[in-house]
Amino acid sequence: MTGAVLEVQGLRTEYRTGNGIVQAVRGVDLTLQRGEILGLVGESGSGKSVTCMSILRLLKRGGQITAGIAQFDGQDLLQLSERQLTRIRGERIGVIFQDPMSALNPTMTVGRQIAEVLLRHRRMSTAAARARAVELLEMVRIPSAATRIDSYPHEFSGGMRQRVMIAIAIACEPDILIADEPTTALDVTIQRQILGLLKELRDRLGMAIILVTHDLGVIAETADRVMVLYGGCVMEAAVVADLFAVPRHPYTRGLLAAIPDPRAAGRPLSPVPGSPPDMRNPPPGCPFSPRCPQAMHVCSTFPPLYGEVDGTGLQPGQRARCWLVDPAAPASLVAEAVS
Amino acid sequence: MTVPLLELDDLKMHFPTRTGPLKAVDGISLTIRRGETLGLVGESGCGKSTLARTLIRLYRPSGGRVLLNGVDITTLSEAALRPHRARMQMIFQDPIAALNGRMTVGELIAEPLDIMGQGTKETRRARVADLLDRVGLGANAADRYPHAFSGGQRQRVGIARAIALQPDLVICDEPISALDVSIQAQIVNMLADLKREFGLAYLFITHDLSMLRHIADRIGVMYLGKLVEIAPCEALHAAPRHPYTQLLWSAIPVPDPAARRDDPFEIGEVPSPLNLPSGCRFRTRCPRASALCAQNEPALDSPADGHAVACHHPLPPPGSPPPFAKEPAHA
Repeated sequence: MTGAVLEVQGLRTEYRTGNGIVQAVRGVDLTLQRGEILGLVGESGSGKSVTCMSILRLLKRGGQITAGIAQFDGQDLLQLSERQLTRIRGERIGVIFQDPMSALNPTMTVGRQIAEVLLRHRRMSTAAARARAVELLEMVRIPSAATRIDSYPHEFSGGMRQRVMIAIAIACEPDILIADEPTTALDVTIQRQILGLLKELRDRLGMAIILVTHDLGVIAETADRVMVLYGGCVMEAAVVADLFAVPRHPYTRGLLAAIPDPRAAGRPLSPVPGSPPDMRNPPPGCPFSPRCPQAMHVCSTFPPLYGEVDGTGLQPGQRARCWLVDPAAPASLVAEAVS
Repeated sequence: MTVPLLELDDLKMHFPTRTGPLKAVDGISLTIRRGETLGLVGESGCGKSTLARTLIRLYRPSGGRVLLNGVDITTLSEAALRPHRARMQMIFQDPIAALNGRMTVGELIAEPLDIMGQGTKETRRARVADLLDRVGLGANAADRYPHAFSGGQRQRVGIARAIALQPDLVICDEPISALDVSIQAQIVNMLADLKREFGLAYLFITHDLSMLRHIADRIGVMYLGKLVEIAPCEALHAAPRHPYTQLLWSAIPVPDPAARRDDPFEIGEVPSPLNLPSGCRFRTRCPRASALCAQNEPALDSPADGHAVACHHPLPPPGSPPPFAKEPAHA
């Protein structure tokens, strides 16, 4: 099975707040291939989580999708009725969050919470749902699943709760699992186990995973392809090896230089100077231009295109939104800027 | 021998619970020298934050001693403690929660000076302007409120406030964990600059092991209330001796897809601190555990090279022959 399972184009999402409209997502294109792990990496406010929640139409109050399509199985998720969407969420697209405690019901045993999903989406007896729930807990490696099924969420550790969340999300063997910062609140030892589990489940169930994280280490260990977001836009997308070996966007290069490599001796860190943009009033050109060490005059006035064209020196499948790699950039503008 | 800046001697912090004492800190001895950065790592619940709060006397220790500049501050009264408190300051993970939103940045930074009655109003104002410059915010930030700043800038305010009294030791409890990647490096580099400039010592508590390598001189590893290994930073990275340290190190995600590991990593979770394993606390997750480990709790040794480990079966130091290696054949 190959081909795209999800295709998002031109997604724009805004949030109305007390002091202005936050332009959280400003034209995101995303293609998710069947069975792949696509990493979305970016800092807070980059639009990575809002992109995912827009696809599921699970926006917080004040959030509104203003443009775009999200093609899934021949239909546009952004046009479906709430009723149609309810059948897709949880059954065809599962989701897990950073904080499993706030997503789990504290008054229900985990077994009932898993069974609930099965009873809603599958024709199944209560006894069969319970048996399947035990299987699912075993699949996510919860020890003594047959007895733990009757425990409540507070009786589990953070890592075990995240495993329960995963069991619920994969109960119906979805085509897509959206994992929004699934290991951010966990210790590195638990993180590595959860990431290993996600990879194993992908191999076993063939589902595609969108993995949202701020941690490039997690991306390097887990993702097949990666998209780097900043200021509500995709700055660069590439196969994971290419992104680390030949990053083409100055923001990607800045991020890579700012993170410590656990294998390197005390190499001084090179921070990205400045702060992220205020998305109520984003810069008119490239959102990264105020912090970019290679910014030209054109960068602060005209937004660059998200290029994937010959003659750019980009790797196959690599795209970057930067005037520096755009062969169609008006030479006069670039030259004027450099001089 | 010079007196260390801070010395902990068998420090204990036990909290009573219905099911018995929770031994959050259970006999920790270590020293921090003047101008030194000691990193402290461990999984959540290992007691690293409790240790910080105990040594700064936010809690009254259940046992052991805290010596600051050679003075035992373990049982001093609040009044007697006050001048010593000024020598130790703390910065927190969440600068938003740590800063009073109704005070201007200038007032926040001046507050410790006010409390200690240092200087006149004018000299304090000048000092605040100087501190704001040093943390890269600029003197005109003084009249603004914390909510007008980003997370990284708020942490800079927290740092300016912490160094206002020119302390000897700053305890940094996860100071960069809530910040964005591009901002973390700004703060870590700034802390390193301030250390050089003011001769500060840091106790740097974090779960971000890879960042620690860029700031720590020595690193201590905690597990369930105990120090299991402590060593100079490079020695600990190059050749960890405690199996737990090795496990922690190998769990850090490596930002290089070419180095991706697909080996299984099923080591379970930390046991409950209310129901500690007998003997060595790590033995339930340890690949090297033996019957001895269940009987006797290993003590932290104190070798000359300063690389101490509390383990019955430590990993061999670098350069030593593998235990069952054949003698090289002579030609």
